[in-house]
Amino acid sequence: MTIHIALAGNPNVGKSTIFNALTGSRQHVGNWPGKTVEKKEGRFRIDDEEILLVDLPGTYSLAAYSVEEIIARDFIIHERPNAVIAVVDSANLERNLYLVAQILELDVPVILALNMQDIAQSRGLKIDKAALAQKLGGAPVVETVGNRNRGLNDLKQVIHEVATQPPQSLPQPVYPKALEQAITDLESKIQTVPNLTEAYRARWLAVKMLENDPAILEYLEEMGATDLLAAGEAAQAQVEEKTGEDTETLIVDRRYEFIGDIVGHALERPSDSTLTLSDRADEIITHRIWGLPIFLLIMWLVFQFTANVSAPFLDWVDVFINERVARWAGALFDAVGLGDTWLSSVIIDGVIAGVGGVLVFVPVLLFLYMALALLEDSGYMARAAFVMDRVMRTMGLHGKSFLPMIVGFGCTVPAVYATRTLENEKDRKLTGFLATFMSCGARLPVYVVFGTAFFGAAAGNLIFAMYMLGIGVALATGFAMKHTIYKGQPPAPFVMELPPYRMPRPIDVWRQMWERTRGFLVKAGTVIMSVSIVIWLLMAIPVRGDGAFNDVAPAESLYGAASGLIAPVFAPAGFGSWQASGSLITGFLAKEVVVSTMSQVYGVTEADGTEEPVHFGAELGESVVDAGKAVALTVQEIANILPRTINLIPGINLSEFDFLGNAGEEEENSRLETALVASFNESAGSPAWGAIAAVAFNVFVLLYVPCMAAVAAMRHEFGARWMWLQIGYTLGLAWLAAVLVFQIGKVVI
Amino acid sequence: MFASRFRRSAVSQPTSEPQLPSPPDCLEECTGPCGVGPMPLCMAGRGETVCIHEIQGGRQLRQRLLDLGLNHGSTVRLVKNEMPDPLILAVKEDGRLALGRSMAQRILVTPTQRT
Repeated sequence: MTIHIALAGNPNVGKSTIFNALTGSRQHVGNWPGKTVEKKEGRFRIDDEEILLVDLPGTYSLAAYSVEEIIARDFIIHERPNAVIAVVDSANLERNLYLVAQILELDVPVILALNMQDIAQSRGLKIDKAALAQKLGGAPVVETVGNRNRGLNDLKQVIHEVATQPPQSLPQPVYPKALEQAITDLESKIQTVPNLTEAYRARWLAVKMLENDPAILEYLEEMGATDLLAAGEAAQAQVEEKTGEDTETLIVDRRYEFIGDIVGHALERPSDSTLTLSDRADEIITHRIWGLPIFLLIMWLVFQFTANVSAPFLDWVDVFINERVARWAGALFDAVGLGDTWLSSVIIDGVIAGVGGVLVFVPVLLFLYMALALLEDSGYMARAAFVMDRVMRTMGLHGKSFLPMIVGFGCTVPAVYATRTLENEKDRKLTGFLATFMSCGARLPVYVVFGTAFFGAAAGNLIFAMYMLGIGVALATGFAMKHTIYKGQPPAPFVMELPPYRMPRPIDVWRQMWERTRGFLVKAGTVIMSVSIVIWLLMAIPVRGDGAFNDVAPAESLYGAASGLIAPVFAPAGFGSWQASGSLITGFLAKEVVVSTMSQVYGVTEADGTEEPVHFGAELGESVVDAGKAVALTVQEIANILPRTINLIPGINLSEFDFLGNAGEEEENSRLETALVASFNESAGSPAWGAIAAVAFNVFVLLYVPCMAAVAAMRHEFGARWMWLQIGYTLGLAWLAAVLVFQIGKVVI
Repeated sequence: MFASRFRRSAVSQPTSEPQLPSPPDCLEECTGPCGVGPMPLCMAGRGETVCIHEIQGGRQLRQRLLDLGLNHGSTVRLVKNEMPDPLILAVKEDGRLALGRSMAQRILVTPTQRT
């Protein structure tokens, strides 16, 4: 028989570290039925017993005010696990025990896991395990320093003992006399209602009724237990009359007294120092004046990390998939006599090109998620939210909303999902809305290509201007929404725990990187692959001229003709060519596709006819060499972060490292760039205005609908109405901004 | 009667926040004596330990603060209180909470000691 164990605890107590350490790779990640909250399950063995471990959502309470709290509570009540491991932060024991007290009230065997003992010890906090266990009525107490795998064997042993022994009854808070009387009275009434006590224990239900628990009251109302509800109200009124306090306050206060008693016996705090190491760090890091510059410096490092460091790998994946694998597949089709058929075309130009377009971004995402995991696990993320609170307030949001926006610089999709950490519906929607204006990694290649084509060495200015414009538009949009559709709404309450600073653990960082990247691969991979095939189909169908299926010039395909229909819309912005419009349409699938579409439609892809023979072995060897180069370049880029940062100070110009003598950098865009300049000069109406049209085009790319995956995420999280509002607003704004840039630019120059 | 009204509002609209009388504005610097009676949390100075007297606000807000350890009668220490940033509180001695100023304005406290 499988033993069922649940893992409960506050957020940030290292619950997932314990979960991973216990279950290793035997995990299954899904969603709770009907909810968008992640459910993690894992299996492991102790002796011959199979254990199923379920990771409950991290919550501060079981009060049923959030989805997570309801999920955790319902699981314990309805699934009746053999035991609940309550993971607590030893360095914040008293506050953490509030959740434990509520779990005890559910009358389930509890194992207390004292995590983060190292931090507690460094602060001079002494926990008397024996006294704690005794106060908890003999419930096992295990020290698990999640960060060093210590105590895991103890924990396993205890799980085995608890699960194989008959459950003991554990202590629970005892309430003041008047309240206990009311509880007993209600209990007897609850027992008369049929079916009720099968799911719930009478005492727990009575306490919850007196606590005005919204979920329980709703449940009883649905059951039609009106007599019972009336009795509950009467009991509340009676207790209030006797004690002068409302029942909710009495219950919570008593729970904290119960905890206070436990802590009084089992926890010894140092008498002197009240300022911890984290507090001292916060004196500087969250300082009124220094906080913001420190934050900007850290963001700069994150940008360097994700944009530059991952670039060599990005190039490597790009070459490997879009050139090598595509060529190998072509050779394979030739070998079996299917070369140059529609089948080889759909696989190579459709599937490989499409999936390749997604895989190319895996290195960027891995590095981005690494940076984010480091920020999160070190405890800095919460401080960034703290420091940014005053900026966010101008948009009617608070500091916590800033976290999804940071994520938005990497990719809009995870940014939309990251809004889940916000309690308030309005905040979640507005934050998700604004996060799309944070220029994501996929938009960067567009700025780079246009920047070098039209501005040469000053390309960096265009890139920087685009990022700044994105932030500016987000600020302005947030400000406008605060004063229009959200006018008069009070700011959402801002309360956030500041976890102590910690050293991130590599294995945890890696797990986060991989889990998030895998999620991206699965979601975006399936969608983009199918759409790539559709685009291929559209480009294969001739509508003009004398081309045949799969043998047609892009301009004469269904795709080219359809793009031509839309093109006039963009004429006022100076880029009314069918190529530009066509690439914007595919850019809706994923913004990085804008560049690849352009190189296709401008006909500057590899010249055909000069196919070299495939040397599989040699090319594979070359790929390995290239991978080595990519690693070297990455190390070089990491080394360069420091001089580049110091070079920000005017007057200093340190030289940067160059390991491979520029061998890894090769500019192959020159033909595309030449074609771009010619095309934009023409659509702008004058060679003098081509550059303005290019800027307008970039502004449009920055602001218009993020991409299909992001739109799907918005719909998933915020509903179809909000998604359409987003699409409409971004399209309208992007068009208006592009037209303004072009028309004003024409006058100024 | 009172209980019945209370309960219904809790079920149907748990997010609604009642209109509050306007306490001193925490977004402004506190000037003059703050008095000895209950005062908004944001008026307390850095390092001061105060006692939670009352939380003005809707059920959901109150519940959230209770869950985080700001229950009636418990003491909190102000680790940081700098305009215009949120406050940092030591809750149950060992936990650290960041609290927005508009929220700190609705938590009435009584001073206990100055360290």
